[in-house]
Amino acid sequence: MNSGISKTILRFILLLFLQVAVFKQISPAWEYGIYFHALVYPIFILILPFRFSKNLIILLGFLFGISLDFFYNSPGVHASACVFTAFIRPAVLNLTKSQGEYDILHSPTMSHYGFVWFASYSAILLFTHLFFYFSVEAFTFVYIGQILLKTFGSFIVSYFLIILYQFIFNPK
Amino acid sequence: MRNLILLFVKYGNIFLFITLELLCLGLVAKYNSSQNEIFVNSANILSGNIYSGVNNFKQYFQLSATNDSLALENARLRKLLYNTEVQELARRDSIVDQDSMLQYSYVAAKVINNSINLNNNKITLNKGYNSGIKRRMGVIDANGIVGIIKEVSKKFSIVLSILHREVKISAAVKSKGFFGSIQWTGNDPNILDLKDISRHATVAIGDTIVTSGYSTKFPADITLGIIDTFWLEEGSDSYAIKVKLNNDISNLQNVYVVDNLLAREQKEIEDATKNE
Repeated sequence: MNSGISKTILRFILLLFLQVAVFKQISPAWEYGIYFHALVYPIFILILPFRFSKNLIILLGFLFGISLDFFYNSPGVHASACVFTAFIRPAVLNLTKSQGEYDILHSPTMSHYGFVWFASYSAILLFTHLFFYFSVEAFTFVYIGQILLKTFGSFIVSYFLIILYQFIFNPK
Repeated sequence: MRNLILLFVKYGNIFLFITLELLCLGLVAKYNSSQNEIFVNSANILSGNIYSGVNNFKQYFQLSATNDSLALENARLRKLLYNTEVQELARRDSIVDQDSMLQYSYVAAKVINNSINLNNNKITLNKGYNSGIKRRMGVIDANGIVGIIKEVSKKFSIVLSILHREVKISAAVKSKGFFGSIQWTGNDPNILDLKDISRHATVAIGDTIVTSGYSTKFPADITLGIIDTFWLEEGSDSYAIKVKLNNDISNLQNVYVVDNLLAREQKEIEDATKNE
């Protein structure tokens, strides 16, 4: 029990730091650079342990999002996207449950359930997260074209980083 | 009552989700419309200090480029200084009012946080009201305009970058005098839109756009950029002009906050005649 909590706290700090001190600082000096954001932080919500209750996950998502907002000067934007992702996480877990039940002692990581499973699970959640995030950021669907472009562009970069993160921190 | 509790137990996470989501969207809406952004911003001590640390580290990689730009600016300023001395000599015997000699003073500051790829970009500076920075002051760098001060804390201040959709700056076509307002539309961080230049104006690609000096925030004749393309807007009396920025917002290091010492006087007299 304790190791899950302390790991989560450590990951909270590590991912917050990685996102604001490293990935936020990368702004490609390329004309279309605005469409490619490196957002690695959603993995925090993706790999929270199974035994955390739905409410706890939503609350953690909110705390994590609002902490990011402190650094991005964007009150509510990250928080709302994180809360949304945390809320739909159980549904996506159900959707991708192909090889039997999940083991409640583990976390939904690549090391336990394999690359293929993690790739599809993270793809769905990350894409929803990014779409929600850019929609809230624009706060209107007038810019739907731009929202979609940003979602797709950032998805490519962030997806790669999240899979990479799994290979580094949760190797098989 | 029991049913109500059961309902909460069963659907508690949905209630929690909706409550938090409404709270977040409320925050977003508030921040989009109102003038108060104190609640969450990087002027607060914690994140401000962390950004200072990150920036200290990043600076090392740009030292030579920074040196070059400072040397260039020194050269330019020295030229300016020399020229003003000559002018002073020429009118030494005329009456000089010391109060009106100095209209603008500048506070040098360092950029410690910056973004160019959001819809509304903001910049954090490492100086606050301890250094005399106040709200609504203009911010420039060696090559152009950076933005307008939005929020000030003791040691930090937040600038609404020129790449912020709500920032409008009064601009003019250099030496032709036509003026309009310049604003970012949220796409290319190098291109801004100049509006309200009427169709009888004569503009050409490559014309320099400068600040008009009509607002109290910026002195006149600071170069903003050059005209990239322009066309006559359909059903409108004015040109749509795309201006290529002279400075590179993505690579800001040293900036200057413009303190217009006569701003209050100008504002007072303008406000007094507003309704006439």
